[in-house]
Amino acid sequence: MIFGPREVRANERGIVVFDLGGRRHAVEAGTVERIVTREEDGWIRSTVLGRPEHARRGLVTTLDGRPRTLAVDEVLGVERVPADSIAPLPEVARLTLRTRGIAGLVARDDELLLLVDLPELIRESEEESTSDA
Amino acid sequence: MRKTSATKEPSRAKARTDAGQAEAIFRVLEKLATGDYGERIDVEAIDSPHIKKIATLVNAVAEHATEQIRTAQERNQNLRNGVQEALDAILRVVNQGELSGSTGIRSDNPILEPMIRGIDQLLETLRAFTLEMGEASLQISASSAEVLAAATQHESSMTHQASAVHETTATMAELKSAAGNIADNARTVAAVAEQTVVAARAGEAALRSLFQAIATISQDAEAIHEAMERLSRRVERIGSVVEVIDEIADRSDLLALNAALEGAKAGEAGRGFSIVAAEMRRLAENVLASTQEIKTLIGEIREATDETARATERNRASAKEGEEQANQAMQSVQAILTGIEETSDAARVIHLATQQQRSATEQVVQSMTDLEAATRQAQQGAAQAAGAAAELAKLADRLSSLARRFRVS
Amino acid sequence: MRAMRELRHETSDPWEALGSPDQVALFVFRLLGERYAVHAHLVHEVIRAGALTRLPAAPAFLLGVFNHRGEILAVLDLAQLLAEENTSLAQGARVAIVQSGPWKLALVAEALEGLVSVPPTALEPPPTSWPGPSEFLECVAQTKDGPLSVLDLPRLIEVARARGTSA
Repeated sequence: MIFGPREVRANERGIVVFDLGGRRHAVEAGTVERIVTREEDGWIRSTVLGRPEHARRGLVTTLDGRPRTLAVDEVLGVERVPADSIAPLPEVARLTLRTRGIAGLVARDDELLLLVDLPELIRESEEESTSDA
Repeated sequence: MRKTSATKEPSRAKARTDAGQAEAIFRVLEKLATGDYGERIDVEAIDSPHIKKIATLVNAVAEHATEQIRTAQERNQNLRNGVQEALDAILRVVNQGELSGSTGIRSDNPILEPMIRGIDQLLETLRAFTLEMGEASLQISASSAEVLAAATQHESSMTHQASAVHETTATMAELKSAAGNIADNARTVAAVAEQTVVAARAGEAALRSLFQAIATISQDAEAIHEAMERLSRRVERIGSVVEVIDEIADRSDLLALNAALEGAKAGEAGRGFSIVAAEMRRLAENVLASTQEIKTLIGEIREATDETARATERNRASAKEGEEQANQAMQSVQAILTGIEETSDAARVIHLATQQQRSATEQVVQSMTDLEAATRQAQQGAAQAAGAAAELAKLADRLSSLARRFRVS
Repeated sequence: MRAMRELRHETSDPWEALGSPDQVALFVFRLLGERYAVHAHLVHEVIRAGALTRLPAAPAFLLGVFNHRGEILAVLDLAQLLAEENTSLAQGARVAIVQSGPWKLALVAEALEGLVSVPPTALEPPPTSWPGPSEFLECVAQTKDGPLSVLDLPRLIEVARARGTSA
């Protein structure tokens, strides 16, 4: 894995960078249907990533054919990153983490962002709420 | 032997013999010597004519003595009775004050008679004296009552006068010192008044300009207030416009995001699209940043205008108040000016008058002091007189009651 | 030996570490007030911890991940693993990068002391009644500075995995 300064490479991936609960995250652009600002359906506010502070935006994804929206604080932008700036979680972390919602990590601007598995995150959150109810 | 009722039956001494007869005579003589005149000699029983004669003489002596004694006793008794009566009479006088009659005792007893006459005279004298005493005490009583009344009256008048004099003296003293002060002050007042007139005129001028200034402030305040109102309204309008722009910018941002998303999903083909979308986002971000700045600015302006409005309001209110107060001050100053001018003239007059008044007052004070002294003396005299009169009245009373104890008619 | 080549140690006597093949090289650290060690050949290097990315829904012993020269490694708190006590990780504190089989990770302790060499005779089996955590002890090494509890690193990692999945 080679990390270098951000260059436009043939092998690139699109990510949506967003802020949620005071931390910066990333999610694969492919899993985001749309970015919205008005809450029409119930936005999901309770996930392992924490609760949004002011929920200005929503990330819409399709889960089992239905649209679901994750409430986030800000959407910073849609970016193209080199494919090798994306890495899976270390095995120990992957095995011991009590969530399926983190797919990996993205090296961006000298920090590691959590690469969120949006559908899994939402599915998990719905499982949590149904088990609580 | 003869018997007398006054004496007891003389005992017959039977004389049989001469010796025996002489014995009997001696016995009787011994008794006579001892004061016992009760014995008689039985003369018939005596034969001897000489002894018979002696015996008869002895009997006669005894008889005579007895008679003498009896008479003396009678006379004594009479005397005693008379004295007792006189004594009773005196006692009546003493105990019951009975002076109305004499003793009522007649006696031709030479010893008794003068005594009784003396007592009668005494009673007479006493009676006369008592009558006189009664009258006199009545007179004294009346007079002393009059004196007491008069003295009391006098005393109270004296007290009133004394206190009145005292007050007057005190007032006069105050007046004197006040007059003195006024006289001194009048000179100063005259001078000060002159200065004050000058100062007051200057003050009047200053007030007038202050008045002007306040009026101007008031007008200005009004103007500011109106200007503030206008500004506020404009700011409000800007605020609502900014809100609209904000909304639009946000929607643009969203559009740009979604466009970029599509571009990313399209991979290589969507690269150009992504770039355009990115630019649009930057634009929207700029607009949003600007509107944020404007919003902040509007907020500041609003705060400032609110503050100014409040201040202006305060200014207006205080300007109004100031105007009123200035007005009042003006009036006061004008009044003062008038007063001062009068005072200035008056001061000069006062100065002269007080000079005269001062000496006059001094005189009055002196007279008052004298009068006060005199009054005090009179007061004391009156008090003494009153006291004496009271004493006298008491005495008269006692006398009167004494006299009343005796019945004189 | 690969471990020897990659070894970067901070001990007062570097020659001691190389030593003779008979010697057993141990990497010593202080933990829970006691002195522990792992076999030196398991230790890749000791570095200063950089920015640590914390992970949500992580077990207590998993402090986070960090980027080590292009490789993302998990950071484990030994004290948590052994006794469920927290080690406060200050910025720039030392962490030891270890590898056990396919598992490469970073370990955090109170303090990392360095290498010691002991003769094999100094190694004793762990006592049956050990006051500390015994399931991870491989043996006890007697040194001139006192006994060292030598940890069984593979076992440790195995237990960590098991704890993570069961929670």
